[in-house]
Amino acid sequence: MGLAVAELLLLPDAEQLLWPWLRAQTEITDLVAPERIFTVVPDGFNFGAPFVRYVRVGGLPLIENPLVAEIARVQFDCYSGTKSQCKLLAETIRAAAAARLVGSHALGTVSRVQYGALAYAPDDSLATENGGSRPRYTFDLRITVKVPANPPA
Amino acid sequence: MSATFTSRRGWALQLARGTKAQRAVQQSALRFANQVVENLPVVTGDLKAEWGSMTPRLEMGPNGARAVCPIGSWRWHFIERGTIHNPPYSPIRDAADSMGMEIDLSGPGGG
Repeated sequence: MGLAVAELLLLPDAEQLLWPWLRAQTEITDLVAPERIFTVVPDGFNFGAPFVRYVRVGGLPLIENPLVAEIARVQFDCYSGTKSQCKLLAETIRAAAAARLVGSHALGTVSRVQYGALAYAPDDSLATENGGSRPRYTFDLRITVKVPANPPA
Repeated sequence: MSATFTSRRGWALQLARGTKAQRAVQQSALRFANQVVENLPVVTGDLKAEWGSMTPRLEMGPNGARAVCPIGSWRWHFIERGTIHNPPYSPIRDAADSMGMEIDLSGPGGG
């Protein structure tokens, strides 16, 4: 006989959890305007200035039953004017995550952050003024997220 | 009765080069390659045909048997990492995740 489940607990959405956190890191917002950090490109977006897109691309539950924690894999794409500026942006996000992401957030708890390879991957679909590919650095964060300690009633 | 343990130098390398290790690496590489193709997005089926030709090649590296999975697709990085106009589908990373493997995609992203 299984346990009676009184209520369902949903795992926190890693993208939503990151949204306010990224905008609250001044070292990041010194390099990219907060409104230019997003998961989906806004309509009519101007690609000129630096921007960051982050997307959940995968992830598996840490344990399957009870389903209360998972490792979400989130890809960050950091765009700026030059290769070195993109690298600085990417490194700054990684460093902020290493220093401050673990802990309690409004949507859930982050208990661990792991880092995928940091790679220079120019975006061929965006041209620069001189016709080259737009510089981009990309990396993954693997974030272990758990339901909040005191989920809202 | 007493027993004496004498370590045999290079035993791990011998194991890693042995026929059993070669077979295990080959099987894992095949599973990985199949999993990558399974994870591809399907619109016309062209991608599956293109990536489906990925046949792991067994080699002997300095640390024993290893497999190389060449992806015969010039546009693999568009699919794996996406562009600003296309989502990253990450079939390679998903396949590695599902097999409990660590993968390093730090190589060049160009075609």
